[in-house]
Amino acid sequence: MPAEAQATAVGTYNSLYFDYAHHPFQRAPELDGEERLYPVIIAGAGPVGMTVALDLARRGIEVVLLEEDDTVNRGSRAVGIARRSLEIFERAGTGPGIFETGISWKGGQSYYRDSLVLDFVVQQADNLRHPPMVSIAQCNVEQYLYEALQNHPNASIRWSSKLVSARQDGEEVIASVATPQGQYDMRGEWLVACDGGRSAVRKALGKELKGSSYEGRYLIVDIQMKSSQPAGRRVWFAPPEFPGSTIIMHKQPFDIWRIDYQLGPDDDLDEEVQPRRVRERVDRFLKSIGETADWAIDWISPYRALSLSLDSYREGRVLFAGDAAHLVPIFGARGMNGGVDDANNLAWKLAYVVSGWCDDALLDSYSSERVDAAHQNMAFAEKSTRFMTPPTFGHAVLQEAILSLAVKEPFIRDLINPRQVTELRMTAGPLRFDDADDIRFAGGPLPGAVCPNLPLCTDGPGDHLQGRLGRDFTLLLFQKTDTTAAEEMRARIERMNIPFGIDVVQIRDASLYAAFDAQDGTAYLVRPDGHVAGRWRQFNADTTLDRLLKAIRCKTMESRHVD
Amino acid sequence: MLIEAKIPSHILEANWESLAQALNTVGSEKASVFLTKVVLMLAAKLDRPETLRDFLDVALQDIEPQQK
Ligand SMILES: Cc1cc2nc3c(=O)[nH]c(=O)nc-3n(C[C@H](O)[C@H](O)[C@H](O)COP(=O)(O)OP(=O)(O)OC[C@H]3O[C@@H](n4cnc5c(N)ncnc54)[C@H](O)[C@@H]3O)c2cc1C
Repeated sequence: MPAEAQATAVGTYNSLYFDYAHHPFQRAPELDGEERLYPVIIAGAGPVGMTVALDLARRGIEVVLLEEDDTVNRGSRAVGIARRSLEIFERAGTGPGIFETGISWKGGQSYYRDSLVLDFVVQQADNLRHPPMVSIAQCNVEQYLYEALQNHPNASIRWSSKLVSARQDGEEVIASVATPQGQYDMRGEWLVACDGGRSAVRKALGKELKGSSYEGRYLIVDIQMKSSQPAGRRVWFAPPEFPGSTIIMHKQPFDIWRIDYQLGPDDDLDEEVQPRRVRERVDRFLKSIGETADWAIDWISPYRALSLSLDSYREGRVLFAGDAAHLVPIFGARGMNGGVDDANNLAWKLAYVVSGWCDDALLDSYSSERVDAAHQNMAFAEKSTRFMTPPTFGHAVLQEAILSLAVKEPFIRDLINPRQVTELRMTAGPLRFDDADDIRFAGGPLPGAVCPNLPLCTDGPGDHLQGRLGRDFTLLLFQKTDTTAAEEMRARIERMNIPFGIDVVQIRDASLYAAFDAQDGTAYLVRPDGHVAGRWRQFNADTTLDRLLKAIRCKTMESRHVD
Repeated sequence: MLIEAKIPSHILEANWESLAQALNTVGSEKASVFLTKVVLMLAAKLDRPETLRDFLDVALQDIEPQQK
């Protein structure tokens, strides 16, 4: 809820740091009886829906987003944007704005009472283009996505348009949309449900999230304050001023600070969310860390951790992504980040199916890969949650034991580390060529891992590997000497008559040879979403490319087999 | 039987006494936190830290579980 930032009227909120543009409702053609079949409808223009839209649009697919609200996300939600999301946003076309506006960080401190018990730095190669995390408010992220979408005439957002129900037959999906000027039905070949935690699509299809919810409650407070407190994730467990509570603080751009504090089991929520009460608590906390600057509250909201997922993210012609598919406790900073990863996995597959290049079975791999990822994300986030808001007597005892032991004993401090940025690797699925992962590799990214965004030294500073990846598949061919190898490979791929691209990128850079444990003739095949599909110490195009086409259910391939 | 080593009785007795004294110092409210700290350190000293699971199983025997 807005606090000192004035609420001007019901439904509007003037933030202290963000200018909300309210987009006027535009009458949809369906309201005047004009109807057509759209290739893709996306319900919800949150960060996930807009990322799916952006990636589809740049692949030439027409998309229409339905958005209930008339603006981007109001108030406090995600602040911790992981490196992987920054990479995905930039590849989808946002430019570097999110990264450049955000506050970069790579670690943080935890305190128990008044002792420092953890000072952590995330381990990552120091020459990657992006830091492990940046802090920036979700509304800013969404604004960048919205602006990037403006470059695509084939993507449109219908504001103030609420999906109220959805139904499908084998051929199409029909979404019923409520607007200020009446309700209409809209037809799509595919519907992507990115309509958040309370997904109307999920309800319409009778699908249920399963998992656990946590009792512990937090208040999330954003304040504006000019302060020189450091960036990063700072946590105070049982600070002297607030015994029995945990307080988290993050620096954001525009002099905004996110303060999350744990409420006690007996605290009355209605009372605790009152600005007067919040002011009192935050004031006491800030004074206790030596902060003297003036500040004002921008937003207050209560939070309780949920860890839930659908069993499957595909239901016929409907695909679920982001919070509509899974809810991950905030302590792992993996909710939006996981959703953006869903978008990145889904968009190319959906584009290939809509374009008629691949059988729609390819979309089942979206579901299996991302359900698996959600479980990995939930496991990380739940570990963090069990520490931040111990759900049982045993967890509470362990939390106190670990924290008090950590004051003097470093061996135990690792348990306090939130592990918000451990990157996921796809652990299974038809699109991973495991047996290609020859034991002769002693290092380098494994199949299923993200192709790291390392610098390309030979091409001058500023150029990074992910910038070289094609829109579709990319074959990184390690070849220092043979100048014709890449050309030959390109010609060969050309002859295969594949409907999408397989870019061949010749790598000569010694540092990349080392990072990929490559020798002349080694190849890594990178998927359109940037994950390594397979790698070969000595690449054999004939067998491998056939296998790839089969795995992704390429129709050209199937028809060739029939021939 | 999990522990086969024969511990000299003077050591057993000394451990008994110091543990009792330490528990008295801590008091009942924080006894579990205190003992957990001890266990975490002992576990870190084990050759195979996962052995703790076996110890827990043995310790769980013949103790009345809490009424739910
Ligand atoms: C306090 C807090 C802190 C968080 N911190 C982090 C963090 O640090 N890092 C992180 O990764 N995640 C974080 N998250 C989680 C993150 O905010 C969500 O995971 C993220 O917003 C999910 O994006 P989404 O696009 O799937 O859904 P949403 O952001 O919920 O977007 C859904 C969109 O759909 C619209 N909509 C809903 N229903 C309909 C309908 N029926 N018809 C049309 N439109 C509809 C909504 O108006 C909205 O625009 C945090 C969440 C909270 C609450």
